[in-house]
Amino acid sequence: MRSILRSAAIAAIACIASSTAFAGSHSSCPTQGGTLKYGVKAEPPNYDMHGTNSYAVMHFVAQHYSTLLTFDWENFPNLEGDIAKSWEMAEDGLSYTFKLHENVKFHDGTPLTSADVKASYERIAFPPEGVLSQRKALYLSLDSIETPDDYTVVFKLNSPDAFMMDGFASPFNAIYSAKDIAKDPNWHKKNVNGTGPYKFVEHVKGESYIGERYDDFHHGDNCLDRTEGYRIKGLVEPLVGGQIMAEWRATAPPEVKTLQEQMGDDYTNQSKTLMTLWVVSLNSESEPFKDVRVRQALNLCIDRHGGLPKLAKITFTAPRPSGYLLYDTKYALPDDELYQLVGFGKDAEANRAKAKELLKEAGYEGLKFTYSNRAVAHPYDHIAIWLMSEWKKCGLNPEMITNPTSKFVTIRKEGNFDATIDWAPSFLPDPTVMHFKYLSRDVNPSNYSRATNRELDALFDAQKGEVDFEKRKAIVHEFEKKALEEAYVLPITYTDRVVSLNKKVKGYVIANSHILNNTFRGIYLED
Amino acid sequence: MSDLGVTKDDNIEKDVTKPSRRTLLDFVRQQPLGSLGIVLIIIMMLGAIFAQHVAPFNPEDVDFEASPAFGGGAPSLAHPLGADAFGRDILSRLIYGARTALSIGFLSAFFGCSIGAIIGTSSAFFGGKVDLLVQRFIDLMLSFPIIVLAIIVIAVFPKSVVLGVDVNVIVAIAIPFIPKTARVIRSQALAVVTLPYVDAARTNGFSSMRIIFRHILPNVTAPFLILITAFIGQAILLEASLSYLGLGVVEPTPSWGLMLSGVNTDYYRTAPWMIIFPGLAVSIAVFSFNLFGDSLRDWLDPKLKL
Repeated sequence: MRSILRSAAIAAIACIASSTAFAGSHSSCPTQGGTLKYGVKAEPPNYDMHGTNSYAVMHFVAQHYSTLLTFDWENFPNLEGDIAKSWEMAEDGLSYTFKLHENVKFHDGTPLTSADVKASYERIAFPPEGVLSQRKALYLSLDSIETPDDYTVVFKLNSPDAFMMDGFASPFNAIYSAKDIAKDPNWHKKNVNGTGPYKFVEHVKGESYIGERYDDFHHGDNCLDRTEGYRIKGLVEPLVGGQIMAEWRATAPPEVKTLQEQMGDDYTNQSKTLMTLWVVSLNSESEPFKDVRVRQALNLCIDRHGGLPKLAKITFTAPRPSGYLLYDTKYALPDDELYQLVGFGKDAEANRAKAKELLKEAGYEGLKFTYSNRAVAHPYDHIAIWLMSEWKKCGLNPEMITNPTSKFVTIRKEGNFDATIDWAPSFLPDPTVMHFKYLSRDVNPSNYSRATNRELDALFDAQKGEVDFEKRKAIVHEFEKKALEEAYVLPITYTDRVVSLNKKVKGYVIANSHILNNTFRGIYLED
Repeated sequence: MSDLGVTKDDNIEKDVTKPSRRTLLDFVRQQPLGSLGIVLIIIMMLGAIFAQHVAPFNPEDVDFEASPAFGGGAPSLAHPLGADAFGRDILSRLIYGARTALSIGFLSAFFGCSIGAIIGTSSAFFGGKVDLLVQRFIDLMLSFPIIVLAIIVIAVFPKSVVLGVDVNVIVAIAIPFIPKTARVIRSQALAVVTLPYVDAARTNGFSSMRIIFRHILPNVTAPFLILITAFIGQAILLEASLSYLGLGVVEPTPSWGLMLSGVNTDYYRTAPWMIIFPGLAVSIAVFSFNLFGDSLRDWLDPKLKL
């Protein structure tokens, strides 16, 4: 309950802050006008925010949409309203009531009402057949959505859910127009109509993506006339050459060095730890990896303490070991507890000796196995080369198979690998979001280790329904320890994100995830 | 009669000048550039075969401290050609990379040329509609740029590694050589099939297979050998190109093409040795095979015999 009360307090503060931010058009734009040119290294498969996991969709499309709540980027993860003017949670934690701003309009001129919020969240939580909702499982506790009037939405839950409040700020939960959804539940895959700061103009596949200022944007902090996104392969040349002013995903340390040298004072950057965890999923259906000793041996061979600080100098990985939860966040295992677990100890030689012993016991000395890698240099190749070298030190014989994204994704999905690089992107340091990846295969198909462990599933459900912070934390730690000991999925490390910018770009605040804060609100250009 | 016959035959034998048997020394004397090519090829082959004895480091050993990110990596006594982004010794990777380059080069050129030679010879031997159909198919294949054809093959065939060699890459490189070889060999075989001994073989009832393999193919050996040497150079270049595009050999296997791309691209400006030496290795290998191939062509050409 303490957690609920705390959330309510934050909500109240956020509510006031939100009302202030809504005060007037252009209120937070030191300058107005200009074209923001940015680069994205991937192509959006479609424009549907509910059905995507792709950062390319977020980097191109998020500018067109609003969400119910958003985050205060200066004080993440505090919440603030986007189309919601105020909100409150019931004492029993079983309902959330939102009051909406009344002058929000879609880009086609129609007003936004509670019916649009209801239709959007029903599409996310209860998608009709043929509609892909990537995060449907996060909203299992959502029972129904009611709209007492045009500007009030009530979410009814079947059980308290510690994640739900933050879930309303998910950047993926774009509010679509109910009439567009009624037209065709998949209309948003090929079309765009939101209430966000910039309107869709044109998308030339593989080349460019153009947006223009939406004059009726309800927050008024859309300071640019136009946004131009370009498909890029590398970010150094277009940034140095002035073809783009920013790239939002991440810049590797050697690229930062080159940009500093080439651009001099015109270069600036912002950095933060990104909530994307790089992991190696071991296929538990593959004969050797059915044995926990072999999985643990692979984990033990990786000298995290010795290697990660060095790896971080050549690619954008974080320099310290981590469990599944981002270190130093409120639910994460403290370092001293993490380093007691198999594979996380500081003595690399002792770890390797133990690994060899386990492999011998299991009858898999000199094990040959395939490691599926994605044909993207940073950080995939870097992590892979380092891991290959570490595993060979234990006498293992990994064979790396690198494939372009589509083939890599198919291999991972179909389980045609022994070990594969994988990642767990999150937009919140919340256990429900961050542990979801490691649930049994039938609960979460994106657990590519294909493992089934009902004990972990039960712990996950227990923490999700526990609203007392200390009790929830204890369950989360139990999950973390159990999952790390089972070693179906080996956490490598989080990501150190550096966003490179031309110094003309102002007002941008880096977030802890590259899928967060991509609406370009507050960004302006300085001559 | 027999005396007369013997005398006549003896006279004929005396009149015919025996073809001069040319030695390796003749090749060296007549083709100095080709000799240089073969010397370089032999050096590369020896390096590849005895890589584990010649290379100063294991090519896959990561040593971050020796990398440019930690202020190292420049050519030094420890690393004569420098170290890459992971602190891996470039000289060692070049030596082991010769294994990849030469094995893929030889195997793909050999298989591509052999299949091409059989198709070309068969096409010339059967003639008629068979020849017409085969030649139009070859026209079709020749219309694809060689790298595009290789990329298509890599996309279609599943990856498989046999004895550490990527069969997929070999197939991808070998297939574009087939139509080229078939076209050249056919032109030579067309002249051979009209010779009386082929008619004699047909009259004796020999099978088509026997005539093609025992009587025609041995007579197109010279252009076959020349094509192989020329295509080995092309295959090495193609392997480097495919690896550069991320479609060929993959990390951490040492490959010259791969050394020019991937993880090293971040250091082109700050650590140029990472690309200069692999680039030189590819150039020297292709240059050597081209020199040898050209010289072999000149040497085997009867019009140029001295």
